Amino acid sequence: MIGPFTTEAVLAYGYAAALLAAAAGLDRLARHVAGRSERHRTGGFTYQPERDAWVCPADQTLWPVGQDRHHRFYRARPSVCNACPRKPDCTPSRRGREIVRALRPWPHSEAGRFHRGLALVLVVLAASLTLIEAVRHPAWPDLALAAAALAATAITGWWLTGHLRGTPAAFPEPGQGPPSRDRYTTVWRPE
Amino acid sequence: MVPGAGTRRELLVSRRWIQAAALVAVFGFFVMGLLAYRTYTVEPPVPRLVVGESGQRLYAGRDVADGQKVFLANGLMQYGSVLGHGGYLGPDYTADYLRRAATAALRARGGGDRAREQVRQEFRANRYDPRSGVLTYTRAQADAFTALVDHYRDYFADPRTDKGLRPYAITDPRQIHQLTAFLSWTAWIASAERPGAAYSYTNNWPAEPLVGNAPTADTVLWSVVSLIALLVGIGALFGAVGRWGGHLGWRGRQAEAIEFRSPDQVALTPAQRVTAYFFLVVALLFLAQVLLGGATEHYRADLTSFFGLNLAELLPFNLARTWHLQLSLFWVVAAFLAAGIFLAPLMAGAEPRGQGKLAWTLLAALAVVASGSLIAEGLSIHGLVRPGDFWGSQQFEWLDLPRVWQILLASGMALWAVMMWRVLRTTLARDSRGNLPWLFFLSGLAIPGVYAVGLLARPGDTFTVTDFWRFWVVHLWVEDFLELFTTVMVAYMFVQLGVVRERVALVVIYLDIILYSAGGVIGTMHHLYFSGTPVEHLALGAFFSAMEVVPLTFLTVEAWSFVQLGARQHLESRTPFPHRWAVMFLVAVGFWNFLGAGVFGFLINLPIVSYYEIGTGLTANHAHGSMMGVYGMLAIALGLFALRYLIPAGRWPEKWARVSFWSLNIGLAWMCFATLLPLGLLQLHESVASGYFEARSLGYLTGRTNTLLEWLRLPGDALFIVGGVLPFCWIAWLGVRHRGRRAATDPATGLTPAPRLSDVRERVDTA
Ligand code: HEM
Ligand SMILES: [Fe+2]
Repeated sequence: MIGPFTTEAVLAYGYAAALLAAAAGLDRLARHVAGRSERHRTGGFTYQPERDAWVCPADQTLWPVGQDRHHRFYRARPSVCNACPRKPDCTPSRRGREIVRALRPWPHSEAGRFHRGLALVLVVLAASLTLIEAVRHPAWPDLALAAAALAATAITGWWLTGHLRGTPAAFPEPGQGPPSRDRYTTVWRPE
Repeated sequence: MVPGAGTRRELLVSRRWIQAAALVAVFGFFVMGLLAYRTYTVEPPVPRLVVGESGQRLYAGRDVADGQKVFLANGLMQYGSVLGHGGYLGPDYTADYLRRAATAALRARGGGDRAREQVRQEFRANRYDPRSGVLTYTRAQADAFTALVDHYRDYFADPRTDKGLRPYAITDPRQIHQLTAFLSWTAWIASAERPGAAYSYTNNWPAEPLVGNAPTADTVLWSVVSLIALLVGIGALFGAVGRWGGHLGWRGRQAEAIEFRSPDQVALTPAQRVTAYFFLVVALLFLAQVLLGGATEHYRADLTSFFGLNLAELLPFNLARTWHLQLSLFWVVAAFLAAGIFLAPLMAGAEPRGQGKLAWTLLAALAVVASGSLIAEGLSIHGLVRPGDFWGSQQFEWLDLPRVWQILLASGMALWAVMMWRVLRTTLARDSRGNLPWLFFLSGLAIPGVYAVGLLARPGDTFTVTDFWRFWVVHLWVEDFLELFTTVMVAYMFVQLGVVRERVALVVIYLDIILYSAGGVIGTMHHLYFSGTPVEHLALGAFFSAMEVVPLTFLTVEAWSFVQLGARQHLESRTPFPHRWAVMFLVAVGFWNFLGAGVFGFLINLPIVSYYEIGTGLTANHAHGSMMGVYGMLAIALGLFALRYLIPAGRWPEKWARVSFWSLNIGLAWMCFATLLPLGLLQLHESVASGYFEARSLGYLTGRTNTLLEWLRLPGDALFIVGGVLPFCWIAWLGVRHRGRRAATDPATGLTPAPRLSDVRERVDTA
């Protein structure tokens, strides 16, 4: 006995709670990694939300030039870039440095959905363990712990699924042809 | 300068990278050399003769060696363990012998506090005389030995199968005597004090109050030191990345705009097309492995019957587990070899004549080795092969292959290395020895090289020495060279696809060599805290293996995110990215590297934790999370990468790839978190609170809570097998059915051009 509760109940519901914490922790960590991988592309560049523009290490501005359902594209003036001494480390393009920004960055990437999915597995497992233990020993006051664990599970589950509800993965399926909007034609052709 | 050196392509990265990598590796292996020397010079002695106080002969040194062979040949290392190493269903026979012998001695002395103290002193005193090579047991110890020969005779001659062993497993009285001698020797080194020290040869392992075994001061001290080392290491690395990370070269540069070729446009070389058969074999071995895993698991959930069938007569627990482990190595290695065959021509741009035939030869050789060794192990466990037999019996856990098969497997991998050489020869001749093709080739060479070291572990040698070499393979393979080979392969795939620049990939690889070798080489010793090796093995093992976690954290958070870059690259191409699921499996590799290897590995890595934990459920938790999570997922990623080109685009089973991906990952996460982790934590608690002997007893393992937890993994396992493995088998079958489109061979040179996988849409400025 631990206080008024049986040891088994405390261990079972405690483990369920630990699973929820692990789910939240994994999700945070994965989000952090995604942020870093985002920055590999944009390292040295700063986004200025008030102007919706990026500023490059040489203090030039990249303005928005186009957008599809999930991303917005920004580009610097080609004449500026082609004259810039730092160009070789910056871009291979003759049409000016470009940056892609995901409109809803996390967890809408594929990797994000994977990590979020695994976090949800832990939530489902926490719920299953709680229910199994409650059915095995439906005794008061242990059931109060079960109720608390279930409530915590529901909240974590709701929170983790929130971002996923109603947003399909933005991956062009093979066989569907090119993505619905082709920015190479729509953005570059006018130049 | 060497003639012709001028024609080599320049090294793409700074020479300092090579120097740093070489320095770290040389340092690591220099220390390993010293440790090998120390292992041989201060290993626990095997007495020439063991006698009782009145001079009667109990057993000889030869009996210990023969007993070890009997132990191995009967697959007992895949059932229970000695010195903590082996399977987890049976007892740890070292702890088992020690407890039974000490209890018998205590009873003989009539019990009580005085008797306890006397027994403790008797077991701790080292009565081995190095000059004559004779070890003298006290009267109580000698009586216990005789009694235990009887005990093990009954135990192993049991006609029932309710332990999971086959009926009448060992009946020959001579073999029982030898086996008991071997167990008695391990118990002796576990309790007798090392000359000049106040702890036993095994650093006081196992915890056994009756003989005064408790954690040593070193065990505690080095646990603390290694914990600090880890924290400082991670802090330093992140600090360094924050400070210099920008200079590593993969920061902030816009990628080339590329277009991926549709799989239908990619014509394959003859050997590349043979890999379809490789991957089908891989898938079938995988299926067999998980089904055997199901049988193994069933024993743990319900020991006495397999849905009403007496399975243990045909497929006893230890045989199922032997095959389960063997197959896990076979299918992963086969996938790696196939991936090498597939990737090498891409790197060289062409494939020489005859490579297809060699690929067939290799596949046939692998099939022979796999089936031959599995059959030999089966015969041996059923008692049909002489212990220690060259053809039929070895069976160290993980190095189960009998010797001849081990040699054949090493030669098979050597043949593969030759095949790599044939393809890459001209590329290698034209390139700097520090560039990607050379790294690919050298890290590939290391795979047979390290495996061959396992041949140094012979069934009749002292256990301390055999375990030392065994872990060169088990540990150095997975925690150093395979990690390295993995990074090279993955980096290489991305370079080939055009999503990562070669220079960036090289920097990541060199960083990898440095970080993995810094901790991983000497870290091998974290398996040898308590196997009879001296205390410096424990100290260095704890310190350096803590350092291993640094790259796992770092590479997950930092460099593995370049995999995610790959996943994202499709945004910038007009043609769809063909490798959605291969890349997702690589993302999974990164995840499990962090969780299964890094977190679950470090959970059991401190000497003080290992002291109570070794050979219990938390090891299984870590082993599954890392072996399947990292190398299993990787093998599948490599498979899907190749299969994408072997199956016509219109036939590509996108849906089944997705189902397989989610099922394998959810199934594995469920397995770890529903069963293995909680079970291991409870068992660790039992080990600390009640005792190691108790925590490993069948009574504890088949208790109510444990049984419930074992059944709890059923949904996850079912999903893993049905939703994960079967679809992969289907995809592999499609690969064999279609086998891609054949590229035309140039009849004059015999070369078959290898395809390009992508085109640069907007070229890098040359001006
Ligand atoms: C992908 C990398 C890894 C793989 C595939 C792997 C695999 C394994 C396997 C299969 C075992 C069981 C060996 C046996 O049964 O004797 C094991 C044991 C062990 N691993 Fe790992 N491992 C990896 C990384 C790590 C890391 C990074 C650490 C810690 C820093 C670690 C610490 C340990 C320890 C301490 C044991 C011994 C447990 C025992 O003997 O009871 N491993 N590993
Ligand atoms: Fe290891």
